[in-house]
Amino acid sequence: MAYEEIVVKKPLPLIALPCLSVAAFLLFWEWIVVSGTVPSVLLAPPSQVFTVFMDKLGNPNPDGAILAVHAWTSLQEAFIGYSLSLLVGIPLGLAMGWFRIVEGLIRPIFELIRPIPPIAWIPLTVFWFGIGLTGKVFIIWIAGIVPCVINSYVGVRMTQPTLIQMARTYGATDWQIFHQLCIPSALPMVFGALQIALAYCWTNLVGAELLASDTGLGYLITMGGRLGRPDIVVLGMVCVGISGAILGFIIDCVERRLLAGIRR
Amino acid sequence: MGGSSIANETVGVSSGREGITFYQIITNTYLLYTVSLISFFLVWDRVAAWQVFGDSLARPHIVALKLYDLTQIKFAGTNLGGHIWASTQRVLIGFSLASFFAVPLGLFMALNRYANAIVKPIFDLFKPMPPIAWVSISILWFGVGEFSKIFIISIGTFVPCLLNSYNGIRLIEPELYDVIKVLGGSRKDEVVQVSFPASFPAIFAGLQISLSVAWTCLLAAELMNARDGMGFLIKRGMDTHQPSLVLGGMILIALMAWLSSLLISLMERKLCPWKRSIDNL
Amino acid sequence: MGNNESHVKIRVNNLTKRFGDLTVLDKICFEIKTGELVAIVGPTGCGKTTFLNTLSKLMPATDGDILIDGEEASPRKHNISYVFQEPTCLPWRTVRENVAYGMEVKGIPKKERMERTDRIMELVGLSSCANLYPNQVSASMMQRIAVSRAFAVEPDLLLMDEPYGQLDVKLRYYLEDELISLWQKLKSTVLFVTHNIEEAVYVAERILVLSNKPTCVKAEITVDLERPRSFLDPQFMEIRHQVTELIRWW
Repeated sequence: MAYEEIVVKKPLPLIALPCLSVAAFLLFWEWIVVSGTVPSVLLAPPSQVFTVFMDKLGNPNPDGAILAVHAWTSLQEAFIGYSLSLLVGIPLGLAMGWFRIVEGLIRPIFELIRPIPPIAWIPLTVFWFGIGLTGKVFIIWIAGIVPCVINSYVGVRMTQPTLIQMARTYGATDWQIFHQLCIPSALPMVFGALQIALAYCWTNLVGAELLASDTGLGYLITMGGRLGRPDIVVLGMVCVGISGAILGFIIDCVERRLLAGIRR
Repeated sequence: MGGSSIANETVGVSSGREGITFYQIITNTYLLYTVSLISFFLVWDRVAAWQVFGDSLARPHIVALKLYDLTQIKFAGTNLGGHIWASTQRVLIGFSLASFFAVPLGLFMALNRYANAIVKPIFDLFKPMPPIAWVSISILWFGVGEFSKIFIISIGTFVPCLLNSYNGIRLIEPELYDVIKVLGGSRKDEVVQVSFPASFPAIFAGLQISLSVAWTCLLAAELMNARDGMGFLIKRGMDTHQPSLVLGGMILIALMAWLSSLLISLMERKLCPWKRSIDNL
Repeated sequence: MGNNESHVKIRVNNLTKRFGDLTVLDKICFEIKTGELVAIVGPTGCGKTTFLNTLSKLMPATDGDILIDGEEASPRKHNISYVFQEPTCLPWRTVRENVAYGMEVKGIPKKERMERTDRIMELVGLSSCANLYPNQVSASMMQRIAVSRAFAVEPDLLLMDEPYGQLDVKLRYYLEDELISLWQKLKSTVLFVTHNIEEAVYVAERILVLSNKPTCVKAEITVDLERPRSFLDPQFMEIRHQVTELIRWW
């Protein structure tokens, strides 16, 4: 090897500080509750959250289902809603980016619906579909479709104009240009939407479950609040956070794979 | 021939020698927009009138009438303007509070790596947690009053504000700093002349995201528990099964969310006139 | 052969382009014979790019005709190729697939497409990087891909818009020689737009000099020199001087 490997040494504090700060944060949290600075009816210390986590793995009380059931319900809803929003949103956005008629017909409706926060649909979905799976899937779908459409649309619009001119001079048809040029060049933007849409879906899923549901992680949080059990509330929040992070990580891997597939 | 593509306006706009064709008429943007909007309201009206969803969807003019009524009478202690103001006030307070602290903290984290090493991991812990998940615990902590709503809004807006200001500085091209270095500028010059202005667009992008999160959080909080505000209207409509009230509330909150994001865009255009916008969506 | 050479391939009559009140092209008339390499030079901002865009039918003309073999030109019917100023490679296709792209759009059968691609790539020395992606090759390679793609469709008319304008001088000489040899081997009809007078005199058989806006053909100069040409040949310098005089604005 002609090149010597250069190792950039991070100053020791920069490695130690993050670990210390997380540890300090957890200890501080534990301490303020145990010492009684914050009453234990308001906040549960990390140790108690862990105990309740072990307990909830097998115990359906007091909210009616064990943790795995809640998590499974949430994941199922998220998965269906998310997939549907990709399935509809991406082709729609791509078509809006290229075909004038599609853009003209869809865009005004899209712009009308877009500023409505997805959880504002909850009452209507409860009226229409009840508090079961369908209603929540609908809300997640509405939430996820917005970034899908926007990113795909912008991706097509950002296709390099000279490439389109080049194809035109060879006599390429609109359809050829669309699927040979615009779609491949929009792909990185489209993959970017996967991550954003997931975050939107997950947030609004929790919202939907908080307000209208009988199982799911969001429901666990609500029930914890109603029963005055901060340990359950915090457990629900932690579970939501962790599963969201795991899902995000999975999508990130998928995205990298796909991007590597077109770049090689 | 190239008329149906819009990805490159310079290629397809000129209409050629053939005069106005049928194709050009049906692809006229304003015509399409009109057709689209009319058919949207028509479909909505018909679906409601034919009771596809039973009595759970109100016809558009019923919703409009309902909103008009609310401006005339007092509903739960105040008229429509009062409800709008109650919600807007909460968003304004929560949003300003969060951005006031989050933006400087984000900038500071990006400029000082020790601060970053201490604060960033804690934020990474909170980042994946949807802000709505805080609703229950904030009610537990602060009751159902104003403060718990403002708390949720602040929590929700804090993270995107912070992350965007942070990334805004981290993603500045190093060449820009070299310009200052070559001219013999100090670290202070670098920060003032390059870091701050270059991070403006990212900060504004963060504010836009925060704002839409803020409205969502507000809605979640008001749906859970409130005595006034637009979320309250929706919730009341849900409890008393009045689709017109629910739809009216949805329209109002969408309108306010749209107006507030317009305000931020205008501010951004004023403050960073050099920023070229790529997307016109 | 001699008879064939005098055949008029492209005839442009009264080509006019207006943007509102602004007349950019004013009644341009000229002819190009089959297999001729014509260069177009003109002062900065004389609407060279508009001229090419109109010729290639990317932009509709306000008035006038462009006839190829006596028929109205159309990208669907005729083979028109265009080499743009900036490299136009599809980043998601390999070098080989990029060279074949023009033929793919034209619907040339796969077998013939592959043969022609291989032949052209051999000629311009792209064979070694056939399976690389455009972002793995240099800027000059990208421009060669575009040139190969344009020649590969065996165009009725090949338009080149300052294709080597952004390359450094050494590469430029090399690619100009390559262009001439490609043109000689494939006998295409080429219209070469440039702002570099030396380049025009070096490659072209005939030079059309454009005027300031509203643009029209100001002069036509036949370059009847032996190839390979030398920059130091007195005749070469004479023609270069003549063209320079025609477009100077000072």
